[in-house]
Amino acid sequence: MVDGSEQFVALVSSDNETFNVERGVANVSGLVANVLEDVSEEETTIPIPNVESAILAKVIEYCRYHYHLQSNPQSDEDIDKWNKEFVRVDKPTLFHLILAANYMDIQSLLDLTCKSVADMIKGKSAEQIRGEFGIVNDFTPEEEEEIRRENAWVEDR
Amino acid sequence: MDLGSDSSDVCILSSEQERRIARIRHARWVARGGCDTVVYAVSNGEGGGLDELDASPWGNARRDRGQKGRTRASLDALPDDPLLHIFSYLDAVPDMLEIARVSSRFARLSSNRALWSRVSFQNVQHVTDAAFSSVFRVPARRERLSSLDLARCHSLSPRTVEFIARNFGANLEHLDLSHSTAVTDREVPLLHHCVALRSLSLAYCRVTHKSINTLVHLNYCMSIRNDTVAAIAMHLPQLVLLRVADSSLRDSNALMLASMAPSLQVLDFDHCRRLSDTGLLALASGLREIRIIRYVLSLDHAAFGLAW
Repeated sequence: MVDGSEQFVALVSSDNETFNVERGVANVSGLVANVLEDVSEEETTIPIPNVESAILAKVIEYCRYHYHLQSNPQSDEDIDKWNKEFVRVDKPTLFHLILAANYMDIQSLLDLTCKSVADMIKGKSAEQIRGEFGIVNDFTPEEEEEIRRENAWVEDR
Repeated sequence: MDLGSDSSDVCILSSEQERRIARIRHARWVARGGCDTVVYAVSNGEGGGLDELDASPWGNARRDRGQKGRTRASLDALPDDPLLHIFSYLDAVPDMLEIARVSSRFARLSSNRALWSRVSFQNVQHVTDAAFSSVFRVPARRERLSSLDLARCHSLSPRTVEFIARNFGANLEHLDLSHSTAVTDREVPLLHHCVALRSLSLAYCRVTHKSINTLVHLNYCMSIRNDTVAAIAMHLPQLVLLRVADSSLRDSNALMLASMAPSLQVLDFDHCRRLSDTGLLALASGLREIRIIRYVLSLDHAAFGLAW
């Protein structure tokens, strides 16, 4: 539902790429909505200095879909399907999306991306989590042995 | 019906609003023409979690502990708050126990008290007394515990109930020990320590009428006595859920409940054959907060004329 009278704002990514976005779409971001509340009508350029262009484009795609749901409702299954498809990205992109959602104050996107990472973690052992996400084990052998002993009962069915 | 839903404060972190405001101020300032290479001097006093305010999305790559080869876009590079948000979708037990083994930073975050407000052992029903107490040896895991589900945990002994009464008494609101071997007549009085308790399930436990003063979920405890109901009404004024189905609840008990347990929202007295219209009417007029009532016995009863 984008009619001719729709106002646009320019979101500028950290690498200085400008995205012209309908005001309503940009307002999905709590951060942008807050800034827009404060600035005069003519000032419509908002820097998003923490988010690079590739990620900002994805975030805008998310905001646009969810904004247009207001005028063009879809079934919960369809929304769910779209959301699932949206987070089918590589892990670095997913983590950058989490940071962007957190910074731009888009709660539903933060929930979606964080839940997606949680699903990757669920059911994995500590070793598998380290492997999957490239995390360094910084315990001393003694510490590791102590924690392992404490948690041994979980597997000990 | 989820009585625990009002305590869903997982992941609402004390510093969150403060930082959100800082971000908004920053963006406004930049929007008004400020330069964006400023050094951010916002402090939340908790350490970490502010990296996203740095000009680079990955902040200062966190406190690198000197290891080489850490992937920049790693889960470990996320600030504390988004990581805790991720963890909030996992179960305290056993997921957080596994998270605690990953690295020292993950171990610290895994014990965040917000992640330990509702703990269910349904995925690890084989938990033992020793395992249970070792899980809760970390003080932060006990601080906000409001709901504990130990139903069908057959390896627990009464020692765990003692542990719960001693350590979680102040905050625990919901305790499910149904089908558990951990509670006998001897432990029931200990539950008096759980002053915040709003729902307690002891269904299918080996508890008799002799010491069921604090029993709330009395299904299949056929010999409920007057003094039991009196004790419930007097000791648990905050009680919102009471199940006494199939018990010998009488009119005198109903009158007492109506006057002394005004907070009751859920009442199950299915098949309480000794209850007459007098008792039902007393409950109807006394329990102003009541939302759910379960009672199926006889169509003759006045209960069906009451607008519950």
